[in-house]
Amino acid sequence: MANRAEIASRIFRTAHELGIETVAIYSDPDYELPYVREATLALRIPGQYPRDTYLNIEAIMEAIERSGADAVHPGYGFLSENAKFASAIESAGVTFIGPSSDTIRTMGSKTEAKALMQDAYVPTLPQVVIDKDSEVDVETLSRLPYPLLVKAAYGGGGRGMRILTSPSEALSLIRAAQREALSSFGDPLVFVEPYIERPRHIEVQIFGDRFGDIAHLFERECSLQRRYQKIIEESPSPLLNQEQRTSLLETAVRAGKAVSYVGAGTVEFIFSPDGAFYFLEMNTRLQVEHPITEMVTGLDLVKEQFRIAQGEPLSKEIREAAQRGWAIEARIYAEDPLDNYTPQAGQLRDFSFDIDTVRVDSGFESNTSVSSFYDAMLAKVIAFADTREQAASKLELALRRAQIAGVPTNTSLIRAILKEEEFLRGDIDTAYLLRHTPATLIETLQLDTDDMNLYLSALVLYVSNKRSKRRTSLHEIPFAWRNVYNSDLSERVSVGDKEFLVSYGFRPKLAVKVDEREIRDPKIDCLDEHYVRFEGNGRLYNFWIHENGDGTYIVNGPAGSVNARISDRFPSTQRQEHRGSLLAPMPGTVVEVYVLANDKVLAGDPLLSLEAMKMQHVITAPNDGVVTEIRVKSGDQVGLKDLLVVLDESSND
Amino acid sequence: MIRNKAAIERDQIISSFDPQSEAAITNRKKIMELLERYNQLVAEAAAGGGERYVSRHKKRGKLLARERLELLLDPDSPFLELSPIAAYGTNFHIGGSIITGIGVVSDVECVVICHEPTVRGGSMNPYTLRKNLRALEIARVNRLPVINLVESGGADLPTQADLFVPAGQIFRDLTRLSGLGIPTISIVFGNSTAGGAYVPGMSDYTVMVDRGAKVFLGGPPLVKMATGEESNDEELGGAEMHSRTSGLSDFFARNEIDAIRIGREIVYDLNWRKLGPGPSVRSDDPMYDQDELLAIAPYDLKQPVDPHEVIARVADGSRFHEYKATYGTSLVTGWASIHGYPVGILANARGVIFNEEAKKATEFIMIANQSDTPLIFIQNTTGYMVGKNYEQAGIIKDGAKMINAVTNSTVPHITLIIGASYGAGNYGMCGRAYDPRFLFMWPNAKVAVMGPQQLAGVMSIVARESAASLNKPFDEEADAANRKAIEDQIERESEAFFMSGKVYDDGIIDPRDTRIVLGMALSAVHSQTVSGRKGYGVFRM
Repeated sequence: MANRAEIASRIFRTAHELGIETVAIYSDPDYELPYVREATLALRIPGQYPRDTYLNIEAIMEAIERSGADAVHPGYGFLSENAKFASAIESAGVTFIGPSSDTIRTMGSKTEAKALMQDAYVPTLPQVVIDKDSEVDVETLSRLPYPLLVKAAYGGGGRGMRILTSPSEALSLIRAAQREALSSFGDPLVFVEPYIERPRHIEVQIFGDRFGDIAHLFERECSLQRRYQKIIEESPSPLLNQEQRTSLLETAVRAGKAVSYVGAGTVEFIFSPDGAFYFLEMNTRLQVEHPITEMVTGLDLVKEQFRIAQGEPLSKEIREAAQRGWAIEARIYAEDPLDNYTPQAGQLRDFSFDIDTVRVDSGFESNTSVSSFYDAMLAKVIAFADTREQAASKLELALRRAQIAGVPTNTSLIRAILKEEEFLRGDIDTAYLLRHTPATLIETLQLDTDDMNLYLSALVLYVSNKRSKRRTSLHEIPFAWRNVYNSDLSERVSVGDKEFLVSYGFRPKLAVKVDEREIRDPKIDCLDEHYVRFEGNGRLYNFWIHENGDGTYIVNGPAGSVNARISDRFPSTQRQEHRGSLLAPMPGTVVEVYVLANDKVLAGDPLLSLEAMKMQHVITAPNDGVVTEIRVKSGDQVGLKDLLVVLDESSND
Repeated sequence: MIRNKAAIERDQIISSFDPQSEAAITNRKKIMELLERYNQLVAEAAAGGGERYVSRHKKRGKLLARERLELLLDPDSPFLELSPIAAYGTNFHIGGSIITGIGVVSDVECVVICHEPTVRGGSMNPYTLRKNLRALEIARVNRLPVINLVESGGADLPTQADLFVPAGQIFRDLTRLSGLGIPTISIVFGNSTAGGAYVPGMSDYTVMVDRGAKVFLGGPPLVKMATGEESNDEELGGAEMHSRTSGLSDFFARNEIDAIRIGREIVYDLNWRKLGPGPSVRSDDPMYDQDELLAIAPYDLKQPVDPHEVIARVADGSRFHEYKATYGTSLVTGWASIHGYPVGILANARGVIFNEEAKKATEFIMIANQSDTPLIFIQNTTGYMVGKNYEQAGIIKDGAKMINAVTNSTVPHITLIIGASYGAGNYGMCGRAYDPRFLFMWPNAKVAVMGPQQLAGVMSIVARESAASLNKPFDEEADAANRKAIEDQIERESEAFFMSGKVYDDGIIDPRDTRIVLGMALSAVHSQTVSGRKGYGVFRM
């Protein structure tokens, strides 16, 4: 398995079902992930960075040899669509579970693939290719109507992609796209094509065998994206009528035939609002979102991949597959949707789902760490039901009841989308999350006051209970016992930008108030380390409470989760940061420092760039000033909120 | 190590108390009324100097005494306030303008002494002094670190005659504690002048709040009078000056909250270790409802109380291994544990102490000293038996044995008065004069040389005899009125509230809190070594 985490676990499951032994490779940060344990053999590839580990063909080839593996599954991402890797495997006499290296090469180049598709009468968009060395020919670009989209020729997942709205910014954005394309995909080749506004993104799962047979397994609707990355996918697509569907599926099969496709592949199309669709690219691998196809067809796509890799023709099941019911998949990312989806790292204090109602393909589990070296996707949660509406509410409920703590995720955002009207109407396109900001969406999940009061009461009592248990002195005495009642104890709790005062005391029975609103007959039972039963106002709520490790708590309850911070009793007076300090917005590696000490800078000037989770972030000056201190140099690893640069605003005149 | 006594069959008290009986219900009601009255007094004390002074204090950006206290204590930890209604029945503000108690700071049990600046500027009156000295004594005998939260205007000058001479003991006690290796910490929030300046002066650690602390022997007017020198508060005794120049302050605090934070850090760095063995047996709740103690506490002191019913609601698992159960049955003795601390219990059963009871108590105290076991005295006594038979049987000698044993016992004693405490019974059962580590009273308790009716009756008989010997006529009517007046006076002066006002106890407690309070007291005594007097064997009386 030339991959990691979620997809490795997924492949192992089917392999083991078929009695196939499995080999995992793991980088140093991945040592504790479940897939490493699940494999029948696990081999370490020392290092952290993808280029040293999961993109290191030499090391992986060596692992293949060491383990005696006779087939390699590449998963998705990493080397899954790397022709060099596929051909290295082919020449080693090992089976590559996927198409031939030639097909990968052809399809890997979006430019080449488009040319081929044009020949097969598959509709495509016009394009201009920009070679890495050639100067960008703005003249040529002007043949295309703005806005334009620049994309990495060998890319995917939105990386190396930029929208060009005017010729003036074209050059710098193309350069940025090239840089990202190089760092992400190893090739700076990019191309420019017309940008379709409010496009929809629908793809078709196809399978081909070595006998030239191609079949489709219906479509997947993938329009719901953030930063060009899918976060919610579904099958069928709510946007297609039967006629469109038939035409789309036929076109996909034609595309597959044009390259004599073998194995599992995906033909991606872009739909313009007028209903016209164009070939976008072909993914020569198993897609992240393959489970929704599995749910609606009842097939195990990995099993079919194995069959075809073993030289079998397309199975009867594939050829006769039907689309039944509705499946929706949500991708759970470790990211902060309210902070521009900044990837998050840290230890997952809890990570569990109610797997009785939904399918969960996860790469992580409680007490594993999310590192900043790889993609931040933690798991996929897939709900299947008779109708779209049912699937959406089922998924929302499952996410509401999920126990995720320690690392911020996009779970709330997804829950909000699943309840949002436009989404429920099926009115989605790739600009959905530009129309609806994460902040406004998440706002809709806000608890009503009654629920919030119960949540916060439970949290504060839980914390005080834990605190009492840690105390060794007089721990036998009921907590906060007084023979002279002074005042209730109180904690200031903030949720987002709102602050609540939760006070509690024994007079002599437990009494709890939130902002002067008394909770009727409160009762708390801390049943285990994280599980709390709280009774109040005649309601019984079960809560799972976790400390996130940064002083905040996540309270998971029947109405969803609340992230709360309890203010310190003694505000720290020592850790006052200098004014003008610029802190790392996320953990990552310093790519380049653009300024020197004593440089005068203007607001907006780039100071340094930081790479994290394969994305580059430029730290710019928030105001005019003089750089008084530089704490990092290129290549440094920085943690969240580490001091990078100090800017003195006063000394600039 | 917690010994698992569950493996051993222990005697368990089987309660025969009926909380639903009419008497029980009536009694409960009466006790609740007393508690209500008591709680009003406590609330009055807790309110400090009243609305006007409280708001003035707050306007200065200062924390109230009780806010300082709550912030100092570990969140959610218990606090046992001592003598909350000191000065009750006097002209001074109830509470004695000082708060003292035992609480947990940085996971260390400490004595906290906190001036109440909203009551006459936190100045000290004779009751403040008693309460302060008692708190220091508790710290000394139980080896508990002391934290002073200082803001006091000094002596209440009109009462200086009752104050000046004995008040010197505060400084002596502070430094004596230091000499015993018991840490003393002062956090100075405000005035701490003249004599008061020696509180930080005599403490091991001193924290001063910027622009709050004023620590000097003489303020600007006094200095001007004495030497003609012009000066201001900050120069003479500000936190900045004492932290930078005089060195009296070890820690400069930016504000009150910061000062409390520093105080907590100081305690953390004491690396404190208790010397007692600590709890050593299973600590489980009693089998019976502690709430029923309200119905058991005798409102009418003539009604005897079976102490088993009290122990059954206080001891771990209601377990009680009785010693000499069939001998001297008016005093119940035996072994139990409270919050896991093994204890010996002596409890009056029918008020009177006869010869056998006195001898039984003596033996029991001696064996508790052999096994280093703390003793709990549960008082409900009308005293030693009088009468020919008893005098001739040597009740004085037997009573003397018991008093000797109590006096020379060195295991910690904790006394709880649940009803009557009359006559030498008060002494033999370790009354205040016998230095119990702690002494608490239920609100219905009465303490006097004898019961009000008996006392009035005795006085009446003496008067009648005196009249007879002088051959004077005896005025029956005047005697009745006189008897009534004496009875009322004694009644009033013997009540728990009055005694507590005089700081003759460490506080009145709600009977329902008995187990908690004894548990906290036992935990405190275990801060010191727990060891009995050795030398002689146990005399069989």
